Amino acid sequence: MYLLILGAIAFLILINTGKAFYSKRKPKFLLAFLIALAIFLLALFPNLAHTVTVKLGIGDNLNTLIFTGFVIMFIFIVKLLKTTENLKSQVSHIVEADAVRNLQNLKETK
Amino acid sequence: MLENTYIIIPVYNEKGVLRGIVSDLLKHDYQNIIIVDDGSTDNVIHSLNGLPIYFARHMLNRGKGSALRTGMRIAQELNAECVITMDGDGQHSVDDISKLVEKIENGYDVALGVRLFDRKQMPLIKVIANHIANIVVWLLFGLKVSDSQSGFKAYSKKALGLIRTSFDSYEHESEILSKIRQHNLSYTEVPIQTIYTLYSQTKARRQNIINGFRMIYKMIFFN
Repeated sequence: MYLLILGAIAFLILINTGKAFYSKRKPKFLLAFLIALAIFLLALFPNLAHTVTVKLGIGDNLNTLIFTGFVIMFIFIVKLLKTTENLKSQVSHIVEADAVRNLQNLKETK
Repeated sequence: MLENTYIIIPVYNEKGVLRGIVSDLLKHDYQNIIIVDDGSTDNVIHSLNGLPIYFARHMLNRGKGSALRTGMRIAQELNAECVITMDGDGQHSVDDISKLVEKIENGYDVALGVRLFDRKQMPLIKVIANHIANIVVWLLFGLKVSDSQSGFKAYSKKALGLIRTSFDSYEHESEILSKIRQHNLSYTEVPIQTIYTLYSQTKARRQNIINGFRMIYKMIFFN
């Protein structure tokens, strides 16, 4: 059942990204199209994943590979957040320095 | 010490109540007031016309923590002996400032204002959230406090020179506590009143559960 739903979703994405790539010719749509195509094929032929992993020499260790993928994703997300935090911190530093430099003493202007 | 006591008020779109707060402070003879406008869009400076204060403005909204950092930097440059931080929504009472300053005069590095959680006026969820935040602060920094999220605090000159924060938003309050621990600063708690005005209660709450989780995450990964 879940393969049917997955296949249907992938098919919809496939059509949309295919249309977008055809009209806009942007590589990001091609990439999305290829990913959707891969998901669609896997939904149609579930044993394909196993065949590919055997051919790649991974064999039955696909779960380990997926888990490793999640770990790598997590590390990437943390790194990305850290970079964002650094950027935010630098923006704040500039804003604060500007505010201190342009301090208004309204006691004197009274 | 009163002459060199500086009061920092970070504000963001608090035009409606700010003039009243500043006027009240001036009436109580607090002459050194630093208002840090954190990129407000309500032209807050116009509401302060004619009041003898220091006014700094962030060109972008960076958060309460950032505004407090700006205020502290200015206070340091003005050679402050004692610094008070209070919220700009009018929930803190001017009468409590003297209690906080007194603790600094007695030799404490930091005096923490502790709100008396009145269940009649404060929603239960907020009381629970505050208790959870206190437990988190205790687990992360080993510091037992009764109100880790209170923005009403007093700092001595020594504390002002040592505390260097990096967080911009509401995590700032917890970060301050981590710095107290890190620099082994002496601190005490002072019970304070909380004024629940219609304005402060109807104002959009920025401290929610998601922010709580964000605080924990930042404290673990970025502190």
